[in-house]
Amino acid sequence: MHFADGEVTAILGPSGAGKSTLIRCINCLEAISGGDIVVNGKSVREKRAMLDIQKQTSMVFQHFNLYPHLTALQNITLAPIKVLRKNKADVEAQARGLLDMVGLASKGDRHPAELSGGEQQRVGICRALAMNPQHLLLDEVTSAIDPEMTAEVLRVIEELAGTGTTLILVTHEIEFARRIADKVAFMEGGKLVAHSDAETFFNHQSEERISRFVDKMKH
Amino acid sequence: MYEMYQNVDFTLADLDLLWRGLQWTLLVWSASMVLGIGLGFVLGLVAHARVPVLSQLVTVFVETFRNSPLLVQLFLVFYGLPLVTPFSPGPAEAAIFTVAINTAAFTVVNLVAALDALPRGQWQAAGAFGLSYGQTMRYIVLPQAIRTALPPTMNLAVSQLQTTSLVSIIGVADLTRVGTMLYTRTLKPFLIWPAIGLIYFILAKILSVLAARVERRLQTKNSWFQAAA
Amino acid sequence: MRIDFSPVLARLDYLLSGLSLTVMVSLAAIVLSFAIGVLVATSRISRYRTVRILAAGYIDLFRNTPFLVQLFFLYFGLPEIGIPTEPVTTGILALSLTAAAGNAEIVRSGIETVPRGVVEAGRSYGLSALQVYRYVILPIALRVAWRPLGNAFVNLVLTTSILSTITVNDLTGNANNISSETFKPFEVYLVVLVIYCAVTFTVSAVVNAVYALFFARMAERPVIRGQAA
Repeated sequence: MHFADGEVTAILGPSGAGKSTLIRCINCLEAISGGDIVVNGKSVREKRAMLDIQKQTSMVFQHFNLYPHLTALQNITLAPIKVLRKNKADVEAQARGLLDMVGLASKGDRHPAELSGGEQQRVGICRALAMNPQHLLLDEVTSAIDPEMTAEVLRVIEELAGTGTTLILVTHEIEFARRIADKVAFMEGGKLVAHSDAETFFNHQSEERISRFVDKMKH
Repeated sequence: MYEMYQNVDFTLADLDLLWRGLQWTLLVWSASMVLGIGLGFVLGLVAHARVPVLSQLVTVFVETFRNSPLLVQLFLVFYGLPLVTPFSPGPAEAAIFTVAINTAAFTVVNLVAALDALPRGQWQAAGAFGLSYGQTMRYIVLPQAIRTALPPTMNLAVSQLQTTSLVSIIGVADLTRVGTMLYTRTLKPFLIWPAIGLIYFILAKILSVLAARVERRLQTKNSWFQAAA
Repeated sequence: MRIDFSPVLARLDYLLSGLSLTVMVSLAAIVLSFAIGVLVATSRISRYRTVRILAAGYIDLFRNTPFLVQLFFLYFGLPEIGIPTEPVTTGILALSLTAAAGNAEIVRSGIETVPRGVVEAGRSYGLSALQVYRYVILPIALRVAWRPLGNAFVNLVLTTSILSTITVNDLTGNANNISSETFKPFEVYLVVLVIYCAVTFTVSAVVNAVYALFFARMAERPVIRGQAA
């Protein structure tokens, strides 16, 4: 499987299929047990490549995992300052820009506990984007949010598609995947079962089992 | 003749001395724990019942004794009381009395916290069945509160063992006092204090194991209790 | 005998000079014991087994032996191996070492409450293990640990009184001098008791203020819908 630059890939499949594990391996959060993943010519198996890969791939987590002791702004600026060694003022300006983009311009000084789930996740997206990653990894980013707040998060992701950032998203929102994905990967039992254009996947699905799954997820 | 005065060697008599010191330590500790936890239990009930004046007095007592050093409390009782009251306690009595009072203050806090932690609904339910305050306390609230308050109180008791070493300062011939006696005679601090420390350490470990055992029994009883309910 | 505070109040200046030493020693030991405590807590969860065992042993040793024995060992024992001792510095050292053991346990249980996912987020963006510890784990752990640490600080202040046994002229030491000078032990120690209470209430107030200032905005746990673990 190949993820091309600027492409949006949706990873679908039943629970326990290994979707999250896959993108966690890309981010070097989990050690790979077999096979290999190469990010920009560097293998995740190499310990020395880890930092480089983590700089190029940014993760947005299912449960946000915001730092509870820092404000939204500080959440976003921590890694760019400490890891990329960027100038604090520059990073803060960038962070404010990102918060503005996701509609949270006025909430930069709030702590995570003072934000709603949808707001927290949008901060989580800003935090990942502040690393200027080539690849953005989104791990079921709406599944821990109240239904009425998922729209605001999905809108932000939709805006990111087509900006040149590679998006790899694990999701259960079939309709959303259909709307923004260029490619779709279908996983089951830890294996990649299908990988094709979104158009082919949704409209010309040859596997009966997969189309049944897609139909079920729609409702 | 010189050796008689400068006796730097240890003898069998020293072991006997240590044994007696150990007995004093255990006596002061056990007596003050029984008295202190008992007194703390009673005062805790008074504090929780919100009896006018009396409850406030208990609060003042608790806060004063939790927020001042045991050493000063010991001096106040041992040196101070005989001059202003008809009581002139000896070192051991003053020691047991003071450690007991100190322990009581902390026990009150544990019990009141446990009582306050119980849901209000328990009182209301008991009231609905026509149980009096005393009956509700006796049969419903206290059994549960004691289960909650016991673990921190046992921890307190285990740690108070270390605290009893302070009674050596007013002259109780406990383990620490024996240590001082041996030290001034032999001038071997590098040997004596670790040895004394080791005895306390072993005692503390034994007490922790016992406390853990009681706690475990309590938990199994608790789960039976919950399963039955 | 009549209760008469005037001889004590006449020597209030002297008593308060003892208080200033108590405050100085307390502050020094609070800072030192905090630093050592964090260090030991960090060692306690080190990836190296030997470091973990050493840290656990340190905690076990200092928590299960009396402070008085530790103090005597250091004060009388260190000169034996060629390190001269002086009451105030030895006192601060002993206090810091013993309080650090307790602080380490408190900080460690704080660290255990840090959600895994938050640590993972830090690692995910390329923060080194040390950076994650310094910027993510410790601040979160300290918020949880802060109030228990505050209790430990109060306890430390009370423990400073024991330094009077190695001739430190702190509040208790000066009280002893006044007591033997005026033969008014009851009045002296009662006044001292109240002063200690005032000091510990101040410490608690400062601890609460620091909490309100730095930690209050972080809720117990961010409210997340549908989080199973």
